[in-house]
Amino acid sequence: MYGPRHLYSRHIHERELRFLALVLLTGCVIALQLGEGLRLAGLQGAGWRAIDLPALERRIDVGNLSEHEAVWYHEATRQETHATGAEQRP
Amino acid sequence: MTREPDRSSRQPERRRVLALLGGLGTLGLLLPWLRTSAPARPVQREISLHEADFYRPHDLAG
Amino acid sequence: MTAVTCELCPRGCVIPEGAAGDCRIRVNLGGRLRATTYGRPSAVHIDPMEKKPLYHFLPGAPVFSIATAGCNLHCLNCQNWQLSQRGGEEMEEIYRLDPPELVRAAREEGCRSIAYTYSDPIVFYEYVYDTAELAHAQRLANCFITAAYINREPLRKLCGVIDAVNADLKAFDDGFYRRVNGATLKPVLDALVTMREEGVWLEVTNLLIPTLNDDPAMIRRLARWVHDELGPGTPLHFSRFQPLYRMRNLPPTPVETLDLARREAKDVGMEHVYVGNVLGHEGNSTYCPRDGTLLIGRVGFMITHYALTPDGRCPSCNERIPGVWRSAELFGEQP
Ligand code: SF4
Repeated sequence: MYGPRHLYSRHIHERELRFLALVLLTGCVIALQLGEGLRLAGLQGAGWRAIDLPALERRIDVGNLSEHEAVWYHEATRQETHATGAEQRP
Repeated sequence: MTREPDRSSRQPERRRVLALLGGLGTLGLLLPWLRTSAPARPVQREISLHEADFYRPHDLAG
Repeated sequence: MTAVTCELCPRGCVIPEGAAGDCRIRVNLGGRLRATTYGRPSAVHIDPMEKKPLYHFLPGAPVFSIATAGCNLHCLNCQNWQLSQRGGEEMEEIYRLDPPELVRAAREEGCRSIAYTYSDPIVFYEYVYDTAELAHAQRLANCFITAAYINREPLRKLCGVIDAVNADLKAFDDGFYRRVNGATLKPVLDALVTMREEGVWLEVTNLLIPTLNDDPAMIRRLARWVHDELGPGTPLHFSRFQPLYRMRNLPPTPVETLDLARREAKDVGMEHVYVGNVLGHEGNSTYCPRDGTLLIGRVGFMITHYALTPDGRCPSCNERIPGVWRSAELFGEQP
């Protein structure tokens, strides 16, 4: 009953389409995740690092770290910001 | 030709058991991964000057 | 969304809000750059001065040594990576030691000097500067142990409050700096010259890593540069590499390599060449460059023999040995 002819002539069912869509969606999510990782890694080479900001802020709040203002810095010029990708939020 | 026995009445039940097993298996796989991929937040210890032992041997260079 | 540009070291990080500079501890919060480890060191120890290593600066003195997290270099062979390659929020241990408490603690422990060391103290510049100023007011000396990857202007200002520096000159090769340390050579050489110009007591350390920077020709070039630019009296330490962190594939430096380096440096006219991290080596000790008298004998960090006159001269030929031998040379006699 299940001869080859029968197999080839099968239509793609709706649930197979759904499964295909799910596979494609998963692929996209993985690609986006990898892309974001690469983007961050690339930017970090340009002179800044993404950090665990909530952890830092919590430690500043309880006094385990400090928010003493540094010396030797200036507000970045538009050119500097653009050249290093610092206009993007980490 | 012998006829296949009709098992259709038991199929929904099996499907539920399989779904449950599958779900548990997936969770079992994901849970340890979720735990290790959470950002590292080591316990922080504030050392007071009274308890500090400045002569404690250490292997820091410099 | 205000980004800021840090002017402290040659990296010149441009840091967006909510992110840190390359050294991990200078963070842009609300458009202002914050020194997040100010007053919050993660390593505090009392070491002998010889451990820094400073061999011609207050020999045998205990030195109150501190470091916070963070570093602006990323050496593959870092020995202190648990401290230097992490941000403040990643540290397990923290001391609350703002500059006044730090100076008080050092005095209470009987230390006459403070060392900013272990990681690179350049990155916690503000903490160093404020503490060093207070320390000077209380007749405590300040020692800065660094890789000297810093811009000229901040360094000049810092030199006003620092008494002694041990600077790492990692190789006389820009390619080595780029590959192994994630930095460049030229700013380091400029910084060493600036320190010399500013009159800070300066010793130089070169860690020899097998196959990477132990070429005799390179060692000779390095020694000649130190001789010509910093002076033949500058103590030069050749230190033994230990396989650590991301460079466990290489063996420790053979003692013969260190001996060879010492000979090369002496050949170009360096007067005080030392061998570090080799217990009991004759290169641990100080000899008179004129008549070879043993002046300070050392085994490891321990002084086993001391023959210098109180004003730092050889007892047999009266040759003046460069260095700071008593704290009175820094602050005058105690009133
Ligand atoms: S000190 Fe730190 S933030 Fe400043 S330029 Fe150097 S690495 Fe970047």
